[in-house]
Amino acid sequence: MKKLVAIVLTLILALSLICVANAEGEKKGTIAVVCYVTSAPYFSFGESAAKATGEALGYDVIWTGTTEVDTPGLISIIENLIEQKVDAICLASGDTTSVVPVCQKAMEAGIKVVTFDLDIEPEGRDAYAGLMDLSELGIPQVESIVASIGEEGDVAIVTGVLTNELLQKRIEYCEQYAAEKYPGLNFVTVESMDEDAEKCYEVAMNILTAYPDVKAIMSNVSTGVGPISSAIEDAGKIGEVYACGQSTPNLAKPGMASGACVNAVLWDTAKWQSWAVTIAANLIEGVDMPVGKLSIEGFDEGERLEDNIFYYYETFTFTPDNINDFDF
Amino acid sequence: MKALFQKHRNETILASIFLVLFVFFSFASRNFFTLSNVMNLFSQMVTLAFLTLGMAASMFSGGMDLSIGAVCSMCTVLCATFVGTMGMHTLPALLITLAIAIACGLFNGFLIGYCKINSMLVTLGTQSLYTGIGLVISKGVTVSIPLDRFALFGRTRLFGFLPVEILILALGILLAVLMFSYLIPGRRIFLIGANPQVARFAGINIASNILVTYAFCSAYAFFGAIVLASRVASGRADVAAALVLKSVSAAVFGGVSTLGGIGSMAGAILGVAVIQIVTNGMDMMNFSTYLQQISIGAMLLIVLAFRHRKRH
Repeated sequence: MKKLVAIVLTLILALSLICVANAEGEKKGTIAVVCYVTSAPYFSFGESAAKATGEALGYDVIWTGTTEVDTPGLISIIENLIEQKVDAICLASGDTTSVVPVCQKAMEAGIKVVTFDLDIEPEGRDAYAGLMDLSELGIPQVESIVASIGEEGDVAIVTGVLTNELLQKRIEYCEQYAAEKYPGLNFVTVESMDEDAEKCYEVAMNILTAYPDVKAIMSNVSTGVGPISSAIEDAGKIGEVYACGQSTPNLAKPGMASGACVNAVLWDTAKWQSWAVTIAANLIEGVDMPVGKLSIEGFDEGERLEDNIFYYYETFTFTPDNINDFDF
Repeated sequence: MKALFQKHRNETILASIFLVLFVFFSFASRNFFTLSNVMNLFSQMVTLAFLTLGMAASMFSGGMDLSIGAVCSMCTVLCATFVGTMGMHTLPALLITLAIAIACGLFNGFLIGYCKINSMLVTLGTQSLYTGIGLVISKGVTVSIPLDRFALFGRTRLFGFLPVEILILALGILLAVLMFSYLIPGRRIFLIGANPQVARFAGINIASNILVTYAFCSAYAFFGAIVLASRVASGRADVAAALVLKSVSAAVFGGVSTLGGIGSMAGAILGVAVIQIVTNGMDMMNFSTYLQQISIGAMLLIVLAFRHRKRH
């Protein structure tokens, strides 16, 4: 009897899976959004926004990716999307080159490839849906330092995975911009937290010990300000050292409350995915998007540059006064 | 027939699971049972399969090579640097990289076999060492290989449909099965893993065999690396980091014991195949990667519980 029940239940499950898989929607097509670390809030916050944007534009959206940095896994996912004959792939890759062959394969299959977050080599994509130039992305982070400690002082940088090219470029541009505009800022070290909050706390503690004159610890990733603030608080250095740089508002709130952080910056990570989906839908439909200012609903500053690059220019600065207005 | 089944019970069960899943996904998703997807399915498992075969070898000997992903990643960096940056011809680049990979394996084997340090401690340390070497060589960035070079091992299809990497893997499996199921050096490693004291009484030189085992692991990491470097047209110092635990899971799922001396290369490869078909099939059905992880974890636990019950 038990065996029979087990078999029946298995059959029901199998049939339900088949029904779900073969369910046809009345949509214009399917857009896949692929991120290289789906477990990072930076990306996962965008899932519902990407799906809602796709829905509004008449597309099914498959939101997927690897849960941790896993390039072979990411490539397999893209290959499987090619087999599923999706209409477009919006891709956030951890580096600029490793996905190029598989993206070319997708383009050969007639799939539109739109990159966001980090751009890849242009031969591997149809368009880059960016926020703004990478050099400009470093500017708000440096301004966050200046807003916290003024134009002079020792600053340490905490970044994510060392091999991530976007993060490396952003640090380069931060240092360049600071050298030109705020020569009094002295970058003493760049440490890696490997997208691990606990490691970030330890790294921040080590910085506070090894560099007693440090006045600010700038996070180069959206998950760093929280643990850095905790380390400053636990080291009893509130008011002497500040956590600043990039952060999602929710992760910066405890630091803002304790005084370990007075300024952090970020862009709306969810809106960035909506932007990528919108550009992908326009490419599928052959909507004319000439170089120059674009008229796209919800993206007032949208602009197309040469080489199929699309920017929408929108960043947020969080302070103790406005931090509670945000929730992501 | 019955005797054959009894002898290869684990492999038969795994092969049956694979076939059942294959049929199920063929009905459940219209995109699954196509020639190109079936070829994809097999080509996607190649790097993980090579690492799993290497990992299985170390587990047969009673140890575990946690540096296998770091060696693989370092090899991708070396290949990319030699071929992409220095413009070297492919063959010498491969030979030098293979020699360096084997040297890494011998170093692991020396510390484990001759210095008698626990394999997990040694390979945890060397994992960091080899990743560091890769980072220094690559300066922390992805080293690219021109798209028109190094395509043979991961981006070439024979007769328009058969990926070359599947043939490379087939050769790798053949060699591994031959060595560990039919040749004396492989059987010695099993005996060392099952009972090192008995192996010593039998006159087996444990240290030198451990040396061979870890050289084998690193050589297989190299084979995984050339396929991976070709597929991604680049090398990166941590590109295969996520595959280490997956290779342990696949080997254990395939019936390889973490205590040593139990398992087979055929079982390990079937473990990879089952995990890969679940991933591919669920991708085709648009299930989230979170659900895939839950499914693979649950499957692993069920098989392990079943196996544990049978053994006790």
